[in-house]
Amino acid sequence: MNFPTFDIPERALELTALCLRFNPANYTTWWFRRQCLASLSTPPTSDFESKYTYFSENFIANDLMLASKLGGSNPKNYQVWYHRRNLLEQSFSDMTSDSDTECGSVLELVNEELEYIAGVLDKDSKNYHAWSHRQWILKIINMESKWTAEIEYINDLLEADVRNNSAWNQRWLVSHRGSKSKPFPVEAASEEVNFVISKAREDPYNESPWRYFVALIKEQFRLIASSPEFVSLVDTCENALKEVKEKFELESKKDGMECTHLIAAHIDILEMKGDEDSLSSAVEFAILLESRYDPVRKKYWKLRAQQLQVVAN
Amino acid sequence: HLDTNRLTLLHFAVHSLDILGFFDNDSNLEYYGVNKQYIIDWIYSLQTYHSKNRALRIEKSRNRNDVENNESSDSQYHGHGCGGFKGGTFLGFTQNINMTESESFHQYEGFKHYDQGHIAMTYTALCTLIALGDNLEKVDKPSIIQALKTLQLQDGSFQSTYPGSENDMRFLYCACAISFILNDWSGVDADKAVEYIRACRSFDGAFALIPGQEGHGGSTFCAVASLVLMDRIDSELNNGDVCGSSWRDELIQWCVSRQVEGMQGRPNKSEDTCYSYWIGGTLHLLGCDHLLDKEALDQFILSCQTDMGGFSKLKNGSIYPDLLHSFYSLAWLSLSNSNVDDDTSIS
Repeated sequence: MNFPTFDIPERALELTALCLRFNPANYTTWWFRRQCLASLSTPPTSDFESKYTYFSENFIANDLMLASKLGGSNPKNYQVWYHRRNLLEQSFSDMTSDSDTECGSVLELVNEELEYIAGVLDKDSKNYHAWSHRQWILKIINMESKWTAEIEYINDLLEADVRNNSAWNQRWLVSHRGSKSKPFPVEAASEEVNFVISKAREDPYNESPWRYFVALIKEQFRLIASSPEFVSLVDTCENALKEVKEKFELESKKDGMECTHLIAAHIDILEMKGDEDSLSSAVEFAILLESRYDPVRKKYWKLRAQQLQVVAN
Repeated sequence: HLDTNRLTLLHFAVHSLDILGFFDNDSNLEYYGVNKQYIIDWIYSLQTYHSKNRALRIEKSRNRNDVENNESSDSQYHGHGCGGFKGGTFLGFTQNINMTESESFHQYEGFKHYDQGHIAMTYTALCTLIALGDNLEKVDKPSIIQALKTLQLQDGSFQSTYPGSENDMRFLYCACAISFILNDWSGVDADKAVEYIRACRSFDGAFALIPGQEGHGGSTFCAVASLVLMDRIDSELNNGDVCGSSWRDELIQWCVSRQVEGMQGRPNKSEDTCYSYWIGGTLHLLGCDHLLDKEALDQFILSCQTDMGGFSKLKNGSIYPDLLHSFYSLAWLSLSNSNVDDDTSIS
């Protein structure tokens, strides 16, 4: 759609910056600003075609700075994050190489942007917008080196806070290279289980690693359900889980059943195993959670126990 | 900063009052100087010009007792994806239904390309109009449906406004709610929308705002509510894993696990009153809200009332109340059906 551009877009541009200082959430102002930037930008060739709006390099740099300034006190403003994305879409979607040397200045831009996001996450490690933007970058550039580096970044975050659910989610995304159609091969799943268990050990009450743990196993279940590899994986997982519980009981002198997320994960595993003994253990655990250990969710665990009982019969 | 969202604020205020029974009593309206028609007119003044113009013609033709067919004159106004409502009077000016057609057209020329509806504002406008007893007669339904068509993307999600915006589960939900209210689903490709919802399933069984992101209470509600509105909830959630535990079961476990005393929006985050609606509402839609410890939850919410009245997001004397948390607290409490002592405990 062709919109009228003004006679003096530079002046209009200045005005938008002023208006945005008053209200950085005014999406019409942002959009109008982008119209001005686009009308002042000259694409590299006369027949340049792109599905994204073209902005010249200096405008991109300048407006990223503007967005950073406005974003500072408004880290959860959708329009500011969207502006960043709009500015970068053209450059990032052009990256087809995985070679660091070939990508040049765009790679620099990528690194700067990832650093910017890391800065925002430093202030609030669970800022949903920041994570969405980060995921968008990793997916659109799709560079193996960046995926690998991201695991390191996630590990650092988990060192700082093993309960950071956003970091756990990012780990899932990165391990799957941003796509649900790239599940863990079973050997990799085993290795990943080791990592997860090591983290779960730090605080067995922590929900996040146990959810991740169950998701790993369920993914394999969906792929290779009754294969010997799966049976072996599940046994390994169950033993690892039991070990965490025992170690916890030994060290804390507390009842491992208190770690309700650990027990919930165990119930899920037993359900997947599906044999009579496993199912009746699962029912027992659910009843214990209901009657004693997870009072807030007692109605839920009662239902779960009933459902498991039906399967067992 | 909330200029573009004033309609949302109105939505929170009106619905909160509605839940409290404020509008049932005319003496309340008189005492507080609340004029329902005035509010309704204000909302309609936010309908985009293209739509408003039709509203003007409907009004006039009704007065003249004839029906004019003005389809041809519509073409002089750009009618792409711009139907619906704006969130406030930040753009152009508040158009008065009494302004003459030539007066408003003349002023419109200056800003017509920027006069775009916003899907969330359209949604809240419709809800609020209904709550105020309006029959939606002046709503330009075809424009809105056309806008939905324009706003839906290839992946099934929706943007909020025609020139472009971020796209995520929030706007998909708005599209479904709008279609349901207007009883016209021709603006939504439901199969694609369902595909997007599927793609947004997080590793832990909830729904994220965009594919790959963290499962979150708000997006989970939007996803489940959308499926219910599209009448696809059973076919989607009852997909089994063969091991007996279906998506529905995983989702329910995730939701009930969000309860600390109040509800948290994601694992390991703090409780916040608004999640009692997002998560409680999700469970309600699944017929499972009885699985929550409603007593503890309702107690938590009531303890988040402030000395000024209203609800804040946390149980803490130094946090102020706000419209959003007040509305969602009341919304959940009204769904909850637990034994709250009528109005005495809600100050």
